[in-house]
Amino acid sequence: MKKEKYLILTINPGSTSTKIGVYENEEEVFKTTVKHSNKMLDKYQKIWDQYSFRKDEIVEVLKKESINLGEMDAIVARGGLIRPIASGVYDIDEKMIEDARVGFQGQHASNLGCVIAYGIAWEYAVPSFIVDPPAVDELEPFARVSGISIIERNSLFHALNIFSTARIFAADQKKKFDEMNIIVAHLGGGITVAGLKKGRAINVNNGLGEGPFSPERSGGLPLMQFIDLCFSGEYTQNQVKKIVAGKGGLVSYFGTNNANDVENMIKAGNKDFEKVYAAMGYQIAEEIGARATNLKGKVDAIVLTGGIAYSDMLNDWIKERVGFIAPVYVYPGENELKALALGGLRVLRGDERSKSYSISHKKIGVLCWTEIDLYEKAVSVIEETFCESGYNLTGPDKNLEILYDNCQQSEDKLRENIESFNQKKIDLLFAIGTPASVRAKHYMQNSSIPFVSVGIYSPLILGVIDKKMEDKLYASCYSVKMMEQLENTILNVDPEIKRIGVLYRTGEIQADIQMDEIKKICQKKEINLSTFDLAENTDLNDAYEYFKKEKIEWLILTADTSIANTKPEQLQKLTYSFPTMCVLEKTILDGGLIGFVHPWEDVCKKGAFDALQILEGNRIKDQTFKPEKKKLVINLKTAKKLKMYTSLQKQVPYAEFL
Amino acid sequence: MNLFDIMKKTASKEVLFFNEPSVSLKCIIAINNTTLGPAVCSCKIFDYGSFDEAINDALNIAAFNTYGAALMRRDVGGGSIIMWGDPDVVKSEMYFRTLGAFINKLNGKIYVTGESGTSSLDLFDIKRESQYVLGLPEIYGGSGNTSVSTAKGVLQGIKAAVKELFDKSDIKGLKVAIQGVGKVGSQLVKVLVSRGADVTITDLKYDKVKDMQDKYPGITCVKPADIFKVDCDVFSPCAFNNSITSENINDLQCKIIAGATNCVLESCDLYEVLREKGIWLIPGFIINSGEIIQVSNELMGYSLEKTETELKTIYTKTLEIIQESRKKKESVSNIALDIANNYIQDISKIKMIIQR
Repeated sequence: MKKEKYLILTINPGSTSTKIGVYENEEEVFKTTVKHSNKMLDKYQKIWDQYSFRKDEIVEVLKKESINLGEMDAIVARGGLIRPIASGVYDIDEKMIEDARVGFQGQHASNLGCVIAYGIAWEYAVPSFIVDPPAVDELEPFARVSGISIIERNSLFHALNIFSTARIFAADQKKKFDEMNIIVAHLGGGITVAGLKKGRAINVNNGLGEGPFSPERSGGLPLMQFIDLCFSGEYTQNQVKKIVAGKGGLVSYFGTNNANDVENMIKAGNKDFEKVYAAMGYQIAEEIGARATNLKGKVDAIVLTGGIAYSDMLNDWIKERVGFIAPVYVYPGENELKALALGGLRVLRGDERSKSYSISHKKIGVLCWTEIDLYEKAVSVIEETFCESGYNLTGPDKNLEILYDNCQQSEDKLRENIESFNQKKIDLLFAIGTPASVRAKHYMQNSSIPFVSVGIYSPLILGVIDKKMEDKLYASCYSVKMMEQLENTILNVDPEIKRIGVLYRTGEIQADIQMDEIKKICQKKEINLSTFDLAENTDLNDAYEYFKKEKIEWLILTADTSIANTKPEQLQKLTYSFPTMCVLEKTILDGGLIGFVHPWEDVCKKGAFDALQILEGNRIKDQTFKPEKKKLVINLKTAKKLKMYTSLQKQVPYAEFL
Repeated sequence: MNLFDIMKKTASKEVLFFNEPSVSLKCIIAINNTTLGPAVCSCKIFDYGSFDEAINDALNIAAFNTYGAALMRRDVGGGSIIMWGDPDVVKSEMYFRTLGAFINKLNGKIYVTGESGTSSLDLFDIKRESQYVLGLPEIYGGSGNTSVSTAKGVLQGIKAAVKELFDKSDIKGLKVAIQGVGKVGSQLVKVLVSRGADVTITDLKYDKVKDMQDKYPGITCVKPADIFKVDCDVFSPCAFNNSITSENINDLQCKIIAGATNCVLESCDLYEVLREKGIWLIPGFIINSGEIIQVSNELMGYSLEKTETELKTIYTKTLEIIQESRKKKESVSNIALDIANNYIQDISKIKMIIQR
């Protein structure tokens, strides 16, 4: 259940201290740095063994501040050098902890973040997350090619601050973060510049050895000279690594990593300092330019962030060179604890789904009765939802297989498809649309495979859901009762109506049910009914002649696959002649006049979420789903053709015109 | 419930109360039966919610210690010491020395050994005031950590159940879900992992779970509420009593329940549910008697070799009880209780003859 206030504990372990913060929603309630004595830390051979010591010190500090851990809604930590993952918020789990323990991409104090958060959360039975760890890797395929076959480029950057700043920036602009292309440069002790294409970091300089130099890192170096240096015999491997990260950049030139000191020297007239510091700005601009090419020049904004983005001098040099690409915005400083809290908050509020780190290979069978646009849309929604949750459909990390079968409107083919799915040991069956759902339910009754269905008609009315299958069957459907449809459309626009025509096809269960409902309503409202059954005659010209003869005032197009499949130009003879109420949004767009519909995409998305939950071993509380959103859709072109534009405007002031 | 009703229900002979506010010691000593010998009392510190809860636990533990001793034919009786309080708050040297002085006054009617909440150092503090302490570390002249023997005994019990019910002599690859990795549970993990079992663990304290995971990276860890759902052959409760409830019993995926915990079912009605599900419950008092074996040996002159050999009797006894249960179509628990009670009666008769 959504709450108004969420309390979140955030944890960010560093080499000799752990920063912690408590947030009530976006507001900081408490923040401190727990300093751990070197003497105590030295007792532990491995960073991992510092777990209990650090955790106990954190808990002690919070106790002293009278902060009750039992009141927390979530514990969020900075993730460590775990395996490469997509950006986002991740549930901490055993697999992640194992990777942090062995140091999948190296040992670092931040590896303790997930286990400390998990340990505290365990005892208070609250969720624990990590947010955008340094291991975020979303490089596009070209960006992985290094230039020699034995080395692949990888992504290691200030993901937490970069993503957090980009989200804040997008919100300030009142735009969606995942609909923008933004270049974000994190300017700190290390400098990384990420190209975010619709929320994904498609290319970034590796913070340890690529891109611009920074206060203490070398950035990319002239290779041949560097090789000579490595083999000169003057340096050990560790010393060379230190030259690249720690003693490189400004430290190498001036012995300081303090950008303020460097600026003061420049202001005092030191030209050497100015040359090097300006060169840093030059290289940052160069890297931003590179990201602009990665984004093919489609850049909405450039954002400068991090500790040294407070420097107007540096910012001005950068702006001068990259201003032509896109507007430059400055968000100086970094607040990792807040970034962690905001990540946790997004999940708690339901604005974002947390991702699973330990996704095992899954197979889903998707069943459609026939090939129509609506069903194709459903498949793409399923794919998108699973990908957003960390599943991969392609590539070496592929962990989701979607087996798609179209039944070609044949019962035998449907049975064959289900048998084939069973043989292939699918983990879940996903039936799209009422015809497939109703039939698949019949064959799935004695199967242990979970079954999710999406459709536009109530699964309870259709009998897709019943008590026997409640443990394994989830239908994400909605029901538009015909009465509700009629009242919001025809009877609203034309309360005195005397005769309605209905185009339908017997044999499709949902069409039969709709016909029954229409008959009852017409009887109650004393409206005459003229029906044309496509099962008996598929010629729409005959239908037109029939309805014309019957002098119908309105026509209803029921929701069934034969009508949904009809080409718009065939339907338009009818829809441009009679005001037509449609149950499907598609048929309105194809030429029908009006409908009071639920967004099909929302229904499919809910179904896909349910499927995800089931595959992750969770139970779904509600077997059925009726989307909150409804919309009245009117085809203005048809309205104008029928000369009903003015009357519709008067009668339906809240209409959403298409 | 009336105290005498509870005593009657558990066939307990004596209950002693001791209160010493200066050291915050509130103690209940339950002596269930001393027919076979002095009562071995496991000493538990726990912050109970009510007096009823504390007294029930004291009498139940005492009764189970009696049954365990009788089943393994040890010359000791059953008792328990319950110290009511939060171990993190009440524990101190004076606390345990005061208890030791009180126990000493009983002149050997009871012997103390460790249980949850007590450490070997606590036992040593008791020993400073009383000679009637068993299971001290070897360096203090005792037979050492009893949880090792308890875990080895539980392992024997699991092996017997697996042999009888799965016809398998080897536990390699056996899937075991352990609830609670405290003193006994952690030792059980160790012996099971070393024999190639596929182990899943949980505990209310994550630090204990992490400690196990760091030591045995191959094991699986799950959250406390998820342990019941683990797909396993054996569910081994080694934590608190009454953990299987009407709410989680249907989640169980195991075929055998066998662990150190004495009362794993929240209520007796749940036996029937287990029976319907085809799950065999091997009660803790049958297979957790490793401790009784070790400390009773200490009374008669301790040797590690002798204890190790005698721990194997848990295997034969468990096997015998399950076979009898299958034959008579009676619950394992009832069969075990009959055997234990008959043995106590037989010894009682002999003692009466001698007294005459």
